[in-house]
Amino acid sequence: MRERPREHRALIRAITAIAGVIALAVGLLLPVGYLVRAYYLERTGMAAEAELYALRVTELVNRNPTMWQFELERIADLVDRDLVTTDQDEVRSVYDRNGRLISASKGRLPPPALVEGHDFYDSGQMVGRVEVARSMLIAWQRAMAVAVFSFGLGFAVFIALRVLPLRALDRALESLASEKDRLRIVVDNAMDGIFSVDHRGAIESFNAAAEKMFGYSSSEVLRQPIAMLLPDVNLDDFEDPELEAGLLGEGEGIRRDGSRFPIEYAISRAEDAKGFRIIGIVRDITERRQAQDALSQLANYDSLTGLPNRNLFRDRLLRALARAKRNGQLVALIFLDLDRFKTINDTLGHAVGDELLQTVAKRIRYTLRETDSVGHLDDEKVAGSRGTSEVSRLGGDEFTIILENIGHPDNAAPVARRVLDAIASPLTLAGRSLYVSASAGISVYPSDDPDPENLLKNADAAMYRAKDLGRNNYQFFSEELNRQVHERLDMELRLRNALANSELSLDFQPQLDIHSYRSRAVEALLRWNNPDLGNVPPAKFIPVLEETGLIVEVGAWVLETACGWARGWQDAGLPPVRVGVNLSARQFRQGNLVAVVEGALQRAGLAPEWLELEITESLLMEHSEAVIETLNTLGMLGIRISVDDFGTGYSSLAYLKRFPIHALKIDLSFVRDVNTDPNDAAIAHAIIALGRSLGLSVVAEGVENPEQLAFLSSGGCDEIQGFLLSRPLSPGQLEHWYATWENLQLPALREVTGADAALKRVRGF
Amino acid sequence: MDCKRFLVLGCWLAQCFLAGSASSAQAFETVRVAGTGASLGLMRVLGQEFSRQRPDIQISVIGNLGSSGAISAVLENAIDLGVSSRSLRPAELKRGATVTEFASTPFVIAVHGEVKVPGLSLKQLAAAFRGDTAHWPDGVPLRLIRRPERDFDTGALRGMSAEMDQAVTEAQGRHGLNVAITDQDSADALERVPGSLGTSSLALIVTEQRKIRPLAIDGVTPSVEAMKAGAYPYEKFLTLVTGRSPSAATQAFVAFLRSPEVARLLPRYGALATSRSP
Repeated sequence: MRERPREHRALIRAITAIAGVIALAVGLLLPVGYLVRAYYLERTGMAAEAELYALRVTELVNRNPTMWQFELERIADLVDRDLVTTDQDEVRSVYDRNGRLISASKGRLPPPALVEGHDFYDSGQMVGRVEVARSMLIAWQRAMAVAVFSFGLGFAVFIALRVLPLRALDRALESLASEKDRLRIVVDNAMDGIFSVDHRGAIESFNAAAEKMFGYSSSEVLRQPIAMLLPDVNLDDFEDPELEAGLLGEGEGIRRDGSRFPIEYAISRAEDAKGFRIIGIVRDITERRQAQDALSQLANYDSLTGLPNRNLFRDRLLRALARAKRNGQLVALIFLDLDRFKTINDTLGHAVGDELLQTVAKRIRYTLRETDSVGHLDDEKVAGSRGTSEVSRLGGDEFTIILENIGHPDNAAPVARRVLDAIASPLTLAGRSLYVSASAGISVYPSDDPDPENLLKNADAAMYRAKDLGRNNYQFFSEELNRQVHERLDMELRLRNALANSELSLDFQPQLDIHSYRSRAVEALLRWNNPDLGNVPPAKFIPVLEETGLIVEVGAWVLETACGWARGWQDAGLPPVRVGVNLSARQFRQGNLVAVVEGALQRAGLAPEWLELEITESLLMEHSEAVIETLNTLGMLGIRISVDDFGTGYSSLAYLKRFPIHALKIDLSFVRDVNTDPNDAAIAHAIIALGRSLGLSVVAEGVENPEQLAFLSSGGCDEIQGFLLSRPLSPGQLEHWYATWENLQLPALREVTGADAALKRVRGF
Repeated sequence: MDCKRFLVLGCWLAQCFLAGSASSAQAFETVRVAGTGASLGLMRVLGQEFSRQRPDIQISVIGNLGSSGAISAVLENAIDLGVSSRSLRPAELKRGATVTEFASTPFVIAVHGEVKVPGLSLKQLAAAFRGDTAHWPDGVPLRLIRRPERDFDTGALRGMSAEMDQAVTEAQGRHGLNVAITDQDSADALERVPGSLGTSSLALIVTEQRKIRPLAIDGVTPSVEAMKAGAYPYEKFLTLVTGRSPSAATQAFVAFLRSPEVARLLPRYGALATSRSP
């Protein structure tokens, strides 16, 4: 028999103790019970007997009250007479009042003895006592006999209660042990790794297959965290006691050398006294995964170009559309088809055709990689988001590109253009120079169609239109989009020549200092007058300048020109005016902004305090070290910096404090309804309060009526800009405006605002 | 005689009444007597005789305390004189009991007055005690009156013969027998119960004028003469027991009982004066 485990020894001790107590109880209770009963019966019998004798003696006393105690013969006869039958030895004694023995019956009284007595009386007066003493020897002898029997019974009970359960326990242990042995053999010889982990995640057991799989010996991993082997296993998943079926899944294992390999696992939870433990079976599925990968490659990839095939394309399109739907994003699908590929194939042979396809695939891939890396798909308006692209070969000379998160449908156009340009560059195949082009069709999710099949069909249709339109171009499926895109391209083309053709000019809009009722600042505003398009609104052409990067060049020109004008007015004898110039984020990214600004000031001969650079709130929100450094340098030069369109972003006091900012310009959208919309009024108030608390000037833009001015003035705003004061003016007009300020502008302003009190403070200009 | 006692008592009470406590010096002296049942009748008649001679001493026979009770009562000073049919135990002697020879009387087997049988042999007597003889010849049931085991009479019966000893043992074990505790109880039962057979003494029968008949044993009729001649061997000795310091009256009464005058009177009452130890 196996040795019993420690915990079972305690159980055995407990069973033995319980059996012993019960057996002892049986062994003792019967004789003790017998004895107690015998004593009780004897005592009650003796009490009755003593009373009986006492009655007799009382009769005798009543007959001879004076000499009764000398009637020894009668008393002796009385006590000698057995009134009660008993098999115990008994002696009856009669005592007088003083306890002196008068007479006692004959007989022995082997100990132990019981004594019961009863008084007798002479006319109600106690004159003596009868005592019946009875030996309990026989009762004790019988009790001993009962004890012999009961101890035998107790022993039998002990045997039944201890031996039988222990035999059952031993059998159960034996069976458990052999079951354990069988299990151990199975575990030791299993092909899969088998381990168990306690509720804290420490490894408890580790079989041979697991040792081989992970490269550790069992002793090395025992009590170590399972996470060092299986990073995917999360103990929290097993906290739920209802979890019965266990977890099946695939994940990664980490070998001793740190290499990772794919595994399949089945992990179950088992309750134990300390909480729970988990038991896992892991299988190295590296080979299977490789086979699957090979199969997947065959099933999902084009063997010629290595690009995803139609099958995988569908899958990826579905996923891309699902993501777009979830995140509210746009997806563009570009459908590419080589122009006259059939001819090349037919004339130069399939081998050349295949080589051409491989080259085209490479070029597309390369172009997209470039596009991705330079961030052409960036959507600057959606912070943190970034577009991705995926190219597939559907078959023959058909390729598709999925562009995710494009921000705006237009953004697909430059990608298509670059890809077409890349394909169109000359190439040499089979010793011959070839000129190949392709046509592209673009459909956009969800505007063109939310269904992936239809989206593909639409892109295909757009591609055919591109072919019809002379090949080597791209077409959107949507006519409106086509029009917008071509218009933009046209604008871009014209803008590239605008500077050279002197089509750009600057207007200036004056600002009024509410406290002094003087105008000491203007904002420079870019204007574009094209011979064909006429005056193009800034809202239309400035985004194009931004997207094409022309803004850098144009921005420099604006700076230079504005500084030149400011100096020019000073030279002309006008009071000095601070000129405000808007800066684009792109100009900051260029890295040479400080040099450009310094150059402009130098060339114009303008002191830096007369230049104000207006930056956007979104630029501040980038709060990159480079931006902070540039702003600090500009600030140190003595240039004033203001935040334009303040209130539209998500500025916080914390980072406003970090920048060398001098002024906040309240966006005109808040000023417009400041007297009618309580929300706008509250925001305007808040911005003014914020500016004051930070010691910044606050300028309100777009002030058009006296009510707005009154509101802003009472609120504590420092300066205003807007049609109430003046529309943007050409440099010449501005000179005239200033020249006539005292006589014309100020009275006009006084008339509309009725601001006499304020005008009293004005001391000419 | 009783009238005179009452007269004396009346005079004594009158004297007490008239003279108060001073009269106690002229009062009677009473000697309280108790003892074995066989002696009670004898003590009464002799007490009367003594009181006639010594009117200042009154003899009061208290009752049947039996020998042991009387000895104990003397030692306890509950009575002045005890009459015992047994010898004294060392413990009793040690406590100061003094024994004086007095008399003996035939120990008799007696029957109910209407039993016709004149006498029994020891064998017949044994058969009666064993229960072998259940009826008298006239058909009347033989009703045995048994005495307690420790009583003198039982020992006397046992001493009559070995067969009797055995028969008495059997009789003591028999259930349903009439047991008489004292000599008087036995005499009462014999008088009352038809066909009864028990033990008694000649002095008791004579002095108490009992209507019971002593049987001849083995043809010898119990009498003082037969006892004196040794023909009737069953006798009961009566000894006088006094305490450590008996009163003068007691001593006077003892002396009277030991006197030749009483010795002469005793045969008349079924007894014989003794001078030897019992």
